[in-house]
Amino acid sequence: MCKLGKVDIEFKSSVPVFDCNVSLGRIHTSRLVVDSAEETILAMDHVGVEKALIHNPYGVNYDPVYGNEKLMKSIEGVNRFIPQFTCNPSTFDIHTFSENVENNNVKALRMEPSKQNFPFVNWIVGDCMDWIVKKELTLFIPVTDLNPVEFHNTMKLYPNSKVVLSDVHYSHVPWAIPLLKALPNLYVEISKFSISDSLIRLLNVVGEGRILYGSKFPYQPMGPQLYSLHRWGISEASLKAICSENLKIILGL
Amino acid sequence: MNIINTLVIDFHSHVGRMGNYNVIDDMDWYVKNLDAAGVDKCFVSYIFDGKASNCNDIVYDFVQKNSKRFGGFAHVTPHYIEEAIPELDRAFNKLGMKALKIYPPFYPKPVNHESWYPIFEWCNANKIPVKSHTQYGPGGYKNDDNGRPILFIDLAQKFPDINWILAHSGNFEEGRIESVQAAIECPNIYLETCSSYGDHGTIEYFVDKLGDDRILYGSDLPLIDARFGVGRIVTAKISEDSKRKILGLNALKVLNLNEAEISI
Repeated sequence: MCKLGKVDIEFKSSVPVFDCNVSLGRIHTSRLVVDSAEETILAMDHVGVEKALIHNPYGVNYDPVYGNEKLMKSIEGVNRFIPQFTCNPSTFDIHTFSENVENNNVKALRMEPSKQNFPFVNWIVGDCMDWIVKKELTLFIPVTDLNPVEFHNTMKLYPNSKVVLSDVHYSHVPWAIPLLKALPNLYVEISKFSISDSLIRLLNVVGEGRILYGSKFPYQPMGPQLYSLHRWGISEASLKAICSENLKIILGL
Repeated sequence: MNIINTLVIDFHSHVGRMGNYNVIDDMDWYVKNLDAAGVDKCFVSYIFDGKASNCNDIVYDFVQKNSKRFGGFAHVTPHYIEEAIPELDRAFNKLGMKALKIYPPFYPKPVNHESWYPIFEWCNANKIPVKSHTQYGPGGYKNDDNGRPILFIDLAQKFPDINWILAHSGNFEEGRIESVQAAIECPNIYLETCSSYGDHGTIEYFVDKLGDDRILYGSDLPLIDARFGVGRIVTAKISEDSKRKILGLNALKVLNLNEAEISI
């Protein structure tokens, strides 16, 4: 029998990997397959993920302050976990939050405007965005949580910000790709971007420097997108950039 | 790294232009994608034209361009039940289709409603596998419940000579649980793996609960790249034997093919 079916059944990444989209901690609406640091590390080791940018789901769903506290406790002593704080610019005290960010050496923030029940408009997020730019922090926002018109109008005011659009799915292609073209300071996280020719599409639009590997673990496994990235025929330098270097650069690590 | 040669059959792909997603219908492009993922053979369908014969003509024309790498799944709809039986006869006896693809959310009644029966009676009499879109759980779309996995227990018992393939295996967690329950109760129900919503551990869950003989690899190409779909299987914590079965060996049995017919 003649066949092409060559597959790697014991895959591990050939380059260092820094996963930029990992959630750690329970949610109240379902039982998670993985909800502990130990099990997360096992999953990372299985496919060769070295580090992970971690957020706590409670911070998004109910309360950033308590969620961020839970986050810091859950990753204590694990140097492979890098904290990502959730912030809600519509309700937080920016001075207290700023102190917390600095005290914990946090470089990445997360907003999920729809879940947190605010629009991403300048009269709500403006002060926070000014502070984010000043402190050179990186902001992550899932594509499912924003209105593209509001987002574009606000982002145009902050050309020096570093913002990552996460969870982009094929259903978002008609507007997410033009959005990435329109905003040169917008990066893209690819955990859900598995449409055919996904990487080529992004390389053509934003170039390798604005593409970040993420898994959306534990709501998705870490392996499939990583496996896929190793099969595009891109150079090792490009693979390294997407899998870890780009994230290190924008976080200033 | 452990590169192996094993038969890989994609049980869930589409053809036809989808310009809204900037997807074109180009044979060379498909072949490159399959080659990169290591897929030997890809079964395609088209379900978006209201006239089923147009869908099947599109699939037939595509497959004819490269029948070594592609096979066709037919489509019919109970909206035009008077056209369905003649079209089934044409699709399987003239166009050489290998299974039927149905999409219950397109129809306003549950998939086990008797208005579907003439289609399933024909498939049962002719031992034609039926692959159905399944999705159940929060975040779904209109009419998803018409194809929820649990409904297939009734169908699998009423039409025992059909091998029923639950595409996406219910997609969401609630749907996956129902899919496994249905497959445990009915030996003629199979689970197919493509999904935009597969939590960590999904493939392992299927194998743990059901065993590895009735799980089929699918990609949803071109909406989901074949590399990503294969990656879901090969990076799962299951045995090499299970990976080989899911990637292709199980599909041979469901479609009643032998490896020589798949050779490329």
